[in-house]
Amino acid sequence: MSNSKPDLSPLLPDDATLKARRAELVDAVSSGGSGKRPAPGWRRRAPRLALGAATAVAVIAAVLIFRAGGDPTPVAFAVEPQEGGGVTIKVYSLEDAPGVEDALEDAGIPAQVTWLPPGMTCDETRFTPSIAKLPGGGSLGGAVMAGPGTLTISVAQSQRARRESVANINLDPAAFRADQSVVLFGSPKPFGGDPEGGYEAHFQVAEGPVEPCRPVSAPAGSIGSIPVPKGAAGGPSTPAPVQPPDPGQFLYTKTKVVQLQGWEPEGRGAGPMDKPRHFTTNLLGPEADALPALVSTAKEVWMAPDGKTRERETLEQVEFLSTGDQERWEDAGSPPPFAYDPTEHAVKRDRSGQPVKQYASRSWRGSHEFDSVIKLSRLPTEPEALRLAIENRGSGSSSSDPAPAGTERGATTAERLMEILTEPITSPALRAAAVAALAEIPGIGVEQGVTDAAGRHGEAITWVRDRGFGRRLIFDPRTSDLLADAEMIFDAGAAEYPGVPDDTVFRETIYLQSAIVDSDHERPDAGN
Amino acid sequence: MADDLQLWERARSGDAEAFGDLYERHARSIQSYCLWRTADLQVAEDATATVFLEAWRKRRRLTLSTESAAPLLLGIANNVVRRQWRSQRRHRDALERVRNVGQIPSDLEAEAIARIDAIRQLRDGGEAIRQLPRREREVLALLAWSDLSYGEIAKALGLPIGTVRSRIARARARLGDAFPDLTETRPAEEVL
Repeated sequence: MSNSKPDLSPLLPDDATLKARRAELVDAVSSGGSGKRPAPGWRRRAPRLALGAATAVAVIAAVLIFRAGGDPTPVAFAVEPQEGGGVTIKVYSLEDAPGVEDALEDAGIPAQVTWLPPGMTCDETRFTPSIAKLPGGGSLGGAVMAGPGTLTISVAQSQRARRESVANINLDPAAFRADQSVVLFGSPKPFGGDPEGGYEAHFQVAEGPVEPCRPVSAPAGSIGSIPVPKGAAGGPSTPAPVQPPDPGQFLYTKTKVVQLQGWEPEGRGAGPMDKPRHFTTNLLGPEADALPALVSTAKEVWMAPDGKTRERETLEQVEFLSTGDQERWEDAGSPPPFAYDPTEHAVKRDRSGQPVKQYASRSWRGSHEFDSVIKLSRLPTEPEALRLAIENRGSGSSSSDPAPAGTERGATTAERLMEILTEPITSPALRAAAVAALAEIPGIGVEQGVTDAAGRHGEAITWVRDRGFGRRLIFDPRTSDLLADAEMIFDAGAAEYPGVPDDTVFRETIYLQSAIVDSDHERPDAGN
Repeated sequence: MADDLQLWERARSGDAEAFGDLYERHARSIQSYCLWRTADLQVAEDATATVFLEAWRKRRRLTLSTESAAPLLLGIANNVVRRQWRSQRRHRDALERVRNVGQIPSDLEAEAIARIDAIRQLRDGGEAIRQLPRREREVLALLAWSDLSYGEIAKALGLPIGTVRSRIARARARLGDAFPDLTETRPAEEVL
């Protein structure tokens, strides 16, 4: 018990932040009017093109910065009431399992929720699977939910939920017997070059007691890991490591991420406070009229075998797809993307004035980061044998032709082979086998003479998926090192991205460098 | 430099920059008050923004009855925090759990550590006060975390000054040694 006032100054905005917030407030209260005011002075000080870049990676970083610093960032999940009863639980990131459990329980669904580190799953023998009978007919057993974005769970009467159906799954409290409950567990998965850009969550109705989750490594082929740079940064550099770092050492990786984002010149309210957020990925798509721009960030990661991690992200540039849009944005004072908005996040500037965000974590990614090295080292390095191993088919299987990429089996195989290529530490032989196995899958193409966003030449494995989207992995044909992993909009019309030309990068991760270093502040280059 | 009365009158007639000046002048004390009431940086920052947006929205109906805009703004803050308290509680609990996971200091995290320490002090130090009945707590919060005089606190909360005095006396009796150190405050107390 203290009878003196604590020093609140660390919790109060500094002068620059106060001015920035003042500008936002003045913007907000005067936006009902002309909206033609000159940009506030604090924005003009920013160097041209020196701002930008909200990426999925940046969002992850924002959550971590918040943990370390207490700055405002999104919560792990939110509970929203539904019209006419029931609630919607939106899980934004796989954190705070007890909170989600409480939310389900409050809504009338007894549940056990477990979020695991990448690459891990729960031992399946801890409960008895069951089926819940829905009051209006039908039943509910188990499901696997996966994807990027938000995992949405609705708890409502099944009749109404069926009509509205926006959630990944609806749970009707009336369907559950007294001895039944829900088991929900999941872990982050790589998506679009982001190690944890997606998730995979398992849902199952259980009956009787449910034991706590016993974490085990996920089965072979389901490799949770992060993409890490390999290859040289525009010239000779340290060779990519082939072994994980020893205890006390760090795997250093440097990547550049380019992401398509939209900017609305007039801004618009978003979030509970109606603060104008001028610049996010949410503003693109069929119904939005935002101006599309490519936003680049540089990202460095130091990662130790015990899970200790440090990350540093620098905003590089904002490049609009049209010159007119570029000028319009600069005339507005080059407002930063949301993830680098100093009024929203802990953003500093490096020596050259670029906005930078950093965080450190003892064990956020868990100590499983390098587990896959052993798993990978056991995989065959002959293309067909590799594919069969990944498909869990013995070599004596009667049907061994690769399934087309348009089928579920073919797509799964292709994704897993691509995951191998994005692994931080693999042998050149395994990478070559993965490239060859991918090339043999019907529906996947090989392109030559492709250039990545850092200007390096290579070959590409290209997979055009439905609705105009697709993925392009650019690799060095001599070493099969991955140079870049790009999610592309191949057909802007089909993808419903008006104002974006075909073959636009939606999100590209460029792998610049990786090496083993001795401290989390050491870079492999000379001088730092 | 214009005083609060002039700025407020200009803001009432739609001058957003004048309102911005008021923000710059008072935002920190409003945020201090909200921090003290909520012990949560995010909630306090959101509440602070809400206070000013509310003040702007209602500006035509509000007149300054003191030379400083602080009592008016703190009065709004009191209502905002009271409303947010319930709706944000679940989020706050969730955030707290998240926040306490696996963080380590690095040389660049000194500021972050300072913030965490300040939040901890707020939570620990303010616990007894947060357990007071709401009416006493509100008066005490303004006494401890604003520079308002008793008279201004009365204006902020729309209470007679005698009520403010009696609530403070009751809080003092309830808290005993845990009563906040207020010796440096209240220079204007005897004016009213």
